[in-house]
Amino acid sequence: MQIIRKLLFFLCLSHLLPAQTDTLIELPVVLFEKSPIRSSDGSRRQQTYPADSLRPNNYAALPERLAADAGIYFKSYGAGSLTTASVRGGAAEHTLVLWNGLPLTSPMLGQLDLSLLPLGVAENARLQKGGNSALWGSGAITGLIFLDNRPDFSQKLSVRTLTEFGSFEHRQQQFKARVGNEKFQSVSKVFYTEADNDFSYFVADNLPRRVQTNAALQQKNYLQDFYWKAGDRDLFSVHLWRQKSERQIPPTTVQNTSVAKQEDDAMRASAGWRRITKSGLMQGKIGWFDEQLNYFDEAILLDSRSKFQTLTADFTTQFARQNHTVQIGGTHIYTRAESVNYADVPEENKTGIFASYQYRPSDFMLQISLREELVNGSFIPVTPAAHVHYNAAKGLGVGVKVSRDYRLPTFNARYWRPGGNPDLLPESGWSQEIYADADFERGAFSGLLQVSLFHRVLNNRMLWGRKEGENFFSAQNLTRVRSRGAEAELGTNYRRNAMKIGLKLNYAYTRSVNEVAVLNPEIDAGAQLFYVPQHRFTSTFGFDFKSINLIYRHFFNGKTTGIIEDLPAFQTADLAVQYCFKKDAIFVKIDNLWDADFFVIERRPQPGRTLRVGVTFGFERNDSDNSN
Amino acid sequence: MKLTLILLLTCSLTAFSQTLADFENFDLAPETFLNGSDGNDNFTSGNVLLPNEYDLGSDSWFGWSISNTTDTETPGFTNQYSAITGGGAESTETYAVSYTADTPVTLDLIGAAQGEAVRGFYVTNSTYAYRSMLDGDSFAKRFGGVTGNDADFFLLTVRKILNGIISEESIEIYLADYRFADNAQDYILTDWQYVDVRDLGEADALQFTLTSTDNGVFGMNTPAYFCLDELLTSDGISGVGELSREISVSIFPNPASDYLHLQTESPAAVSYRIFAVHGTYISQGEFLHSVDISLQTLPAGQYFLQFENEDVFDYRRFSVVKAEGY
Repeated sequence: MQIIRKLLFFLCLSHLLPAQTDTLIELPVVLFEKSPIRSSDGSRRQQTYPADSLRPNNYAALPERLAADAGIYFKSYGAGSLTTASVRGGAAEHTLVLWNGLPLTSPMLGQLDLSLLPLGVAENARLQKGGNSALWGSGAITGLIFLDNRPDFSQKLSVRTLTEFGSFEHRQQQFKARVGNEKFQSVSKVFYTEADNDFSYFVADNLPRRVQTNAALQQKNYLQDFYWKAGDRDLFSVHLWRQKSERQIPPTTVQNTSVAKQEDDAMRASAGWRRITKSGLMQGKIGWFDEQLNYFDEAILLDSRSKFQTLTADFTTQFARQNHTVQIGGTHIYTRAESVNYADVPEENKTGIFASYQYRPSDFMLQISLREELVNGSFIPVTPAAHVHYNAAKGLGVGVKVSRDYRLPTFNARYWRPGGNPDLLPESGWSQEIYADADFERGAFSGLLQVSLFHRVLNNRMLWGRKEGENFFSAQNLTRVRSRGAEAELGTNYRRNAMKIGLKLNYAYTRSVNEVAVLNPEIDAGAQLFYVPQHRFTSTFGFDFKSINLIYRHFFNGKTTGIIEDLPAFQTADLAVQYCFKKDAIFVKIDNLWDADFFVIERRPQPGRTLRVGVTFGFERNDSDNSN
Repeated sequence: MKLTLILLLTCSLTAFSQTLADFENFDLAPETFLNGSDGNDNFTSGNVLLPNEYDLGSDSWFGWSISNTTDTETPGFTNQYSAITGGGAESTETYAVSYTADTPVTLDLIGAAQGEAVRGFYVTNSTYAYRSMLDGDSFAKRFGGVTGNDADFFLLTVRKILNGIISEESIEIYLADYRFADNAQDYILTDWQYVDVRDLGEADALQFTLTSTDNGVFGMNTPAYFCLDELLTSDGISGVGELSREISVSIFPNPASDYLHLQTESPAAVSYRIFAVHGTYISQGEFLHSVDISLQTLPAGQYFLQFENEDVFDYRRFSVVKAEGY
């Protein structure tokens, strides 16, 4: 029983460990070695983004936090506008976003608008690069973003608030309250963000800067989590998340005005159960997501509404004996979607089962996974994955990963009128990766070097194109995409008395090309994918002295190809300075510090220098405290 | 009101017959359109046939539609059937709208016009394309670009098809032209512009292609729409000894109910013939200086007059209206 208690305690708190890192520059760490092998990446180090950590960057939206990883590039339509991620040269649909293990990605679009997600909706965010369809199914081709809510049974009472004001009428208010004891926890969160985003941008020499219009946004997130620890073995959880966003759609640089607006409304509910068994653990969860996306443009008399519902049930069980661990599980996802552009209300039933075996002697790890999935009565070919990791020396790990990955066509690709194609094949292909991680610690210095090489071929790449003789665009399996690249990260921290200095350098070379020429859209064989920079370099410098901490981040983004014109390389920088009073803090953040003019998407301007000032405060009462 | 319209015209010395495709024969209710959703895959007016492809599932179409909508203000594809002029050419109501979707569209000559030269037609911008070029939209640029100096254009190219062969010769009409050094001269067409295509010669069909300076990998960003009206075909033998001269005849009142007064300063006698708008012969006569033609027996509708004066031909359109209860 004592072992089980310890294991349960570990399982609950292990997720919080990254949040407790006291290094100035957050370096990738090995996570969840004892947690479900499905959620871990073997012994590979991963970057985590703990939202509870008292750092000014953690009050940002998710893309701002992940941007320091050179291997991920955000395709942003501007401040507060649609933002999607390209990981390792993939498309937005190739990165699966999970909330407590349930896919958040829209089944209609195949992607998730990350600008809608404040980092704080989860206690922990984590990026896992590389394919993982064997364990997570469709869409996990280039990476996974985990957003996890976790209990902290050590806290009896915790109330924290954040108030932030900034340029362009930006205002953000966050509230989080934990109440409970060692058995029960209630966590309530309210997030409110609004901004006018009426920034000015460069037009041309000898012309005045143009002020962005119709760019206001308002985002509301309400989250409620309940946790109940039933005995020593069982943990029950309920998560409710209401998300409501209203935003105006600004005009392009070559559009006089816009009155368009978009409303996103989501109600997400999930319930989970986890049991520690003698030899491992079991867990199950069920989730119901009801989401709407409505687009209005009064100028053109457009009222476009769409919505979908998903019901997801997921179960896994894991057994461990000595160095052997086996996890098996299954997921069923029912989806229905409605749109004026669909003829009917299409439904999809997707059932996947998977098994994963992990052998882990002291310096070695082998993991093999298999998945089979049945989609509306048709089988997806068996999806395997393998990962070998070897600790070659103290602080030095090397590894190889191979996986087959796939993505099912979205509802829009299958049912949109005109052009939806119910006969689309899933995109599928193989990914390979080799990597080496080396960490060191010498005196006041500590650091980490990570190097990865990856290669991926994706067949049946789906694009909207026009067939010869057809007068409308239709979804087709048009091309094959080969992606290859290298990523390197060097991070180091220096600590002396009350002073800490950190530096992280991150570079990614990404060559992601269409191998098959396409007539319409006009894509040459060998052409780099749209909006994927071949070179990306980021650097992060941190400085802590007593109660002051400072973070400066610099980004170099190589040139990209857009669907209308090429986009030149650009550099931006962010600066954040914070002064802490115990667990309270005031902070100043400056985005685009050097006031660069740049475009990620052609005709969609980005704001120049942006200032934000905020204060966070609250109080806590832990098991070990009587008061704050 | 006296109308004095001077037109360039072409005529045949050996025979003369012209048919006007004005699309008024569809008798559309006000502010409506035909886009093929009724199951017809083409529209016929005069001696031309306009193909249409309609997709029931998406309520989308390609090729040609027939419209009399008058909305010149609403931008966007929800107003895709309107001409920027607010009506048809020559003060008519109905006109044709073409959506080319980056692919050329054709207009087939039928009946007596097949294999003959098309004389001309009117074109203008759709409200959708005009507003997009003027103000930009979420997909397409405002012409002139961010500075107003981009040398943009929106070009309609007309070629003939004869015996299955598309001609190299073409006639170009700039529906918008921002290539002028002086931006004040930049324009987007807002009126019906007459296009004389006789130089293309004998044809079985005309092919229309739209091109723009605003393009991406998915094709043209500028909405691929234009409007066409009052297309005049030559029927029978033509192109022999053609002349191009002016003839001046005034007709009034127009619309008329009881009589139509014709007046010319020509010293020679002018003969005339009256046709229904679809080419049906009604009557003929001859006059010196002026004449009053009785319209008592003609039902209300659209007609045109053909004049002949010393081997020169001209035509005029007129309307007959009748008091209620007539």
